[in-house]
Amino acid sequence: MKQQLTKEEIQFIDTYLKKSGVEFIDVRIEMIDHVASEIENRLEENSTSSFYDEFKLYMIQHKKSLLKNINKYRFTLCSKILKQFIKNLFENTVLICFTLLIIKGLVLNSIIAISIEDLKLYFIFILGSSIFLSTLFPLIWFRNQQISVMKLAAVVCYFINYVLFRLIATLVDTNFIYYSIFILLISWVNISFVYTQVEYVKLYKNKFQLS
Amino acid sequence: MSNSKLYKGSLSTIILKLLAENNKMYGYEITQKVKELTQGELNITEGALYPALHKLEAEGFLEVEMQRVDNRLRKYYKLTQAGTKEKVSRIEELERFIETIQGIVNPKPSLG
Repeated sequence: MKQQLTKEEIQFIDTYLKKSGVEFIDVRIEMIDHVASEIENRLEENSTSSFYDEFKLYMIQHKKSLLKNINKYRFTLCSKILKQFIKNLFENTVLICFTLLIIKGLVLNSIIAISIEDLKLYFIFILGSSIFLSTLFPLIWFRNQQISVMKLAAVVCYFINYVLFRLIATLVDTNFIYYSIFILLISWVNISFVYTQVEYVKLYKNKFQLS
Repeated sequence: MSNSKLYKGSLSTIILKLLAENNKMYGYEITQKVKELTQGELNITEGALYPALHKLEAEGFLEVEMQRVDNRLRKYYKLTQAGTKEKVSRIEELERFIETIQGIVNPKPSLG
């Protein structure tokens, strides 16, 4: 029967890869399985050998190839994340949250009659929270395990917000109506970001069985 | 095969073809299957295989399934609908390419 590696041996491979610079757990999971499968195969062929001997030998032969190109698919991943963000703009949940946000703004304005300055603050507060949720929250949630897709998604969120805020600063700061429309649009984009990140969090929690 | 550059261009086609025949496979299994089918002639390296798999996944041709196996997690790849379509066209493309190369390497003697 094929010898199975123990939990400690798997942990050893994981720690080794982490120290070799494979920071993302989603990338590492696959490498661990590859290395472990190969070592198990070798141990089956040569039963007198030990895990550590085979591990050393494998790394001497394959480490370079294993660690090469691990980030090569980043660009494709970026475009995949962007597509997901755009698709989620029209998700029911996102649209409902967005509509509620507008209704609440209108209610505050017309019924309670808060001042325009306060309304601005309200919008900024909503916007700030959604940006926090989309960029920082997933990273805090998974602080012990770095996940490539989510980190990249946070970078994409940050970049798009940066561009939009540069636009808002140069274009519409003086006119309140334009300002509100623009803030609403940015909020919509950010609600979609939050939704996408929550999707990723769920995916990684369930699929990759991470905590 | 010592020159790995020769197969790199067709690696994603090989992956799509294998997945079409085997439903779901994990990375190491693909390398072993290729070795077996080519009697050890073709040895796919980790550095070539995983970026190719990740690219196909990001392009939407493959979907992923995680399974716990012997103290660790295993990432299985499966063809999506788009992947099945892509496989057909890529194989046709590869066959045409092989014919073209045949024409250069082994030109048929022309009559007259």
